[in-house]
Amino acid sequence: MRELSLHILDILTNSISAGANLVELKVEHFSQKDKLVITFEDNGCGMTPEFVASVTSPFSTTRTTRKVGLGIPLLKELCELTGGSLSIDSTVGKGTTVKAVLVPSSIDCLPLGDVGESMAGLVGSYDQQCDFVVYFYHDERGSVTIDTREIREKVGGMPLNDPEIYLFLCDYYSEQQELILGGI
Amino acid sequence: MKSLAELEAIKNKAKADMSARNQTAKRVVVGMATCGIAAGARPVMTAIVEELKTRGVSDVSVSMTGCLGLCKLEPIVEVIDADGKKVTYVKMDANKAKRVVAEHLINGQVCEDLTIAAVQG
Repeated sequence: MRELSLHILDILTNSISAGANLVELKVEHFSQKDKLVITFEDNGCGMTPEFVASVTSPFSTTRTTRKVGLGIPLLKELCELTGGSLSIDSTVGKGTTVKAVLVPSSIDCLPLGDVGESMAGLVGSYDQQCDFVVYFYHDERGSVTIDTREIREKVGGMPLNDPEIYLFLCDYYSEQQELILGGI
Repeated sequence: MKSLAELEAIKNKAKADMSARNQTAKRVVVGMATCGIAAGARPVMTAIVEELKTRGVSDVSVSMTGCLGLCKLEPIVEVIDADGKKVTYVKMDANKAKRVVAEHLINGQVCEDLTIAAVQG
């Protein structure tokens, strides 16, 4: 993966597979501490402590098509390469929180990339299933929250995978990202 | 700078040409698991949506799905016609995706050279 936003897309699809109907993504840049913290919080089915312990192994997956699952292991490796870490907190029946800490100044850290494109696809594809709250934060520039429930209200029942809305959302998320997190 | 208020305009425009819109008949599904994403499925999906908008096609729905089970052939795009017939395109990129929109989704001609049968065969 060449951008953090692709990892974000990947990890968010885990929440969908877990049956979540509300997912919160936080991308927070603490520039003074040189930390980029990406938090994924969902209300999906959660994982047992045993599964959480094994989930950072590539040979752990719930999918049936094959015996490997690389989403979490790849992100964990990336975090650790930059000098950061990845932690998972999960309760069966309640949901899962994945927290990825990266060091943006590290040569191994990937650019954030286009979170907008990742979100537009997810929001449209899982329109019927799931709402997404995206929160961008920068310690000097402030924060912004984008909630699909608010978007839904505005479009009044139009499907969110409509091409016009998809492309609008691509740009809208990207612009807000640039405003708060531009340069990472 | 875009604002959410613009969504209302999109909604009103959609309402206005609702009569011209067909029911969503065809579906396009893009594999978007770790394998697909790493192989470049996200720009493929965006290219399809952009091309549909450019050409004013409104009877196609595009969505992502999980792993389709053939990671070495990702990005994979499935086109499901109104009658349920499915064509699987493999090793896609943005340009091939635009071709599929024009030739298959609009003109009804399957891009045989991009299908799983041709590429893997």
